[in-house]
Amino acid sequence: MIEQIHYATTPKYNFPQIRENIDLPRKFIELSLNSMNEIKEKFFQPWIDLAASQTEGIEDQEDVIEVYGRDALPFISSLEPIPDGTPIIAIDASSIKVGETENGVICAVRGAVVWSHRKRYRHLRIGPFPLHVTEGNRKEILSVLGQYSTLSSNFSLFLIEVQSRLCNALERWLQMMISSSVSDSIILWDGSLTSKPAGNYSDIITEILRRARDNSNVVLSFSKASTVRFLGRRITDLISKQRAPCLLEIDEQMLSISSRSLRLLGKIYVAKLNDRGYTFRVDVDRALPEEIRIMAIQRLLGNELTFQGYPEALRLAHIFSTFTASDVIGIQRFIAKEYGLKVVTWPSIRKALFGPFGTGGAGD
Amino acid sequence: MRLYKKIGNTIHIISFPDEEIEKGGYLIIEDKKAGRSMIVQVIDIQFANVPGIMEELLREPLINDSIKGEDVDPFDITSHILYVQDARLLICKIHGTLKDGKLSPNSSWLPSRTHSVISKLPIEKLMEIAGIRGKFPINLGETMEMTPITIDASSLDGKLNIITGRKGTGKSHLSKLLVLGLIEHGATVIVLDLNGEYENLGLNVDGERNKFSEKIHVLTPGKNFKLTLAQVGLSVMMRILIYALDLPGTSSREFRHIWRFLEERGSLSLHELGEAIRRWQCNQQVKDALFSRYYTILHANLFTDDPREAVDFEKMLQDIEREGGGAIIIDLSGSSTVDRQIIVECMLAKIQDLLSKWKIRAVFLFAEEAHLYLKETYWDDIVTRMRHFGVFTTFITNQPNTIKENIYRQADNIFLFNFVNEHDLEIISRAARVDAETTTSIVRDLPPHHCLILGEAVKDFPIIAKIKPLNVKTMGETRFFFINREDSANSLIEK
Repeated sequence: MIEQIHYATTPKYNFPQIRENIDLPRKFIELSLNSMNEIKEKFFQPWIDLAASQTEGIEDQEDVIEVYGRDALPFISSLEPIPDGTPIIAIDASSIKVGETENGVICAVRGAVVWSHRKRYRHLRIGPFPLHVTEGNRKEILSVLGQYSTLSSNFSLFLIEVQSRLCNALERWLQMMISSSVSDSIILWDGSLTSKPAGNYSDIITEILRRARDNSNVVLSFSKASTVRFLGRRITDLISKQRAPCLLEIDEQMLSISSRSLRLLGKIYVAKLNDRGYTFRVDVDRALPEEIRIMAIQRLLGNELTFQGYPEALRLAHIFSTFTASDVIGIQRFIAKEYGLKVVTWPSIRKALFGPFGTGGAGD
Repeated sequence: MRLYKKIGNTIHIISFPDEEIEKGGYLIIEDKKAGRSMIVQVIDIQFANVPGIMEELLREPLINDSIKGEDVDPFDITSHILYVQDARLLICKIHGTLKDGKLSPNSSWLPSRTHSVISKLPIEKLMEIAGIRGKFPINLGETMEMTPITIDASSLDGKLNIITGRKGTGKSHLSKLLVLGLIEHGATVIVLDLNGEYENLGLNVDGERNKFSEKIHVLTPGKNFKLTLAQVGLSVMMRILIYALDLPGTSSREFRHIWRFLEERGSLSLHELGEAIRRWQCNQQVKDALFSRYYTILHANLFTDDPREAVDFEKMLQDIEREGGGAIIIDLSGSSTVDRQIIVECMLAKIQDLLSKWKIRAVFLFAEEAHLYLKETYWDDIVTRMRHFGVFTTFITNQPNTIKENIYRQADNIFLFNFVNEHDLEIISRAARVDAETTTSIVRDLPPHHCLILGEAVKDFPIIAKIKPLNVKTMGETRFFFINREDSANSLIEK
């Protein structure tokens, strides 16, 4: 039988400081208006490929990390849920490419915050913001997003990364706002608490974590797919047969990384929160004492549904931010109508040359 | 609206929520470059197959029902997303092409997908283009667009019509409307009234006599509808005996001899007929057969020996024609099945006789639930042979399977009310005037008192009409137990 989740609505909840601190959304709006106005009455080719073009931020991606050493990893099996009414707040953002123009791409970003208190849920969605990204407006985008995200100086790389970076900027801003505006809460992120030392990206995360700590919040970051491996096996497989709830602590001394390549801002755990659930890598703010980190997971267990071993608020945040096909068509309709864009299909040299053999097996 | 695709004579059109399109409505696809327009009818409205809609719908209940929240959507893109999600696919049937203001049934061309302009074609305009109104208008009510709908009475002239639909959907109401419309244009109408519903057509709802009161003649067999044998004549009587009472050939021959014998003696009467059969020298079995038919005729109470009691049916019809139209309502409500068959057979034979001798011009016959009094062999006769004599029949039934497929195929006009039963829908879809898909799709969703008109009356453009109310006493004397219980009790006490 499929397990059913029953939601109850939170009677009242406001996001006061997010709504007040509208700096980034205002910039997003300006950026959107300015960039989209540049292509008024011009041509665009709608793009809809949900599987290929939807990203949640590539800066979270890490190389494979091996766990070395023959010592047993610390295993914690006595995790008692603490149902103390701690609010659980989950944040996620996503972006998608919606079309191509003669000199750039049009993409859209959207963020979502889901707040769970005593298993009642509310959400806040920000966006979508359509943006036209070209070489011409590259500097402007850099300056807008610079505060929250770093960008490649290579233009071709920039076009590839931009969608992810825009998404990341919105996500970091949401994380910053939540960390600053709530207290005594558990804040859930999607991904890992790692960063590349170059640029100011790790500084941003460090700052967000600091603000969270200052307000007595704990940040837990859930990774659906971990690159950390032990003897060639994914670390999430190590405790998949154990009784839940349980944790496996990964000692960073045993990891095959140098401080030059990657900076760990969280303590890495493997968590199995539900007997019928999956195991996940969970990063907890490493600046917090160990007992607080463990207690945060216990409070999560006591105050949040963990259907399939994944926090429900984070699952909902993902659902609310992700773009569906009808979202994309709606955005395309909006930009075509609002900016008088003419829909075209540019000929593909590859298709013209190779016909059905030129699409890499995807064409018809 | 945007043209999506064409398969055979079906066109698919994408429509958006702010475009109010109803099933049964007409659209015009104007291709200005080609200089012509295509007229199509919407036969079904479906949701457009928007990719990812399943994910959206799975997400929506979470948002709407149990998880409250807010959206910061500065560009109001959500409204566009909802707009896309509510996009509809209109399934349309091609009904013709308009070129230089002229209508043709041509549907072999394809309008441009990119520059064709699709708009609603008001039914009123369609009626004007197709010339549906004509010289003898009968107002039936309103179209879906609340504009009046009229058909030309001449489109029923010389035609075979069928009115069918579920019980209580308004068939008899439309039938009465057509009867009165025809009378107004001077036609002679005969109604085979199975339930005594038409006898008050000469009265307003409040019981006052209306303008039709002098033109409605109610004949109740056994009461004010009796005929002498001389009026009936041998040929009509022979048809009654053979078709209604199944008299075998030998017995028929003997009856003919008896009848001629009495005619020659000048003593043709019911009494003498019985005596003659008794005395007639013939096989006992023949005698028995003749006697059984004689007593059936006698008990039908339709025939009389008293000329003062008899109705001069011929004169009555001629008077109606001379006075500019009218209706004879044959009230069959109190008659048994056999009696009904005798009455109808007698009347039809008489009408045919009068028509063949050009004593009357033509008759519009309205037959309610004809299967209850017409033998199967007689249907084809009515539809084919009698039409040439000038009997133009309208069948009214709530059981479409009682009308044979060949009758549907030959029908010139069909007025379809709601049906939901698949079997019934399949039967009515055999009508030759329109494709089965149009019929079943539209008829299934027709509300009460709405009918789909097919055929000559609407120049083969199926039109949905809301039948107007009539200011005449249209209801039959249906007796209700619960509504009238108190009144009935009171009236019984008073009595």
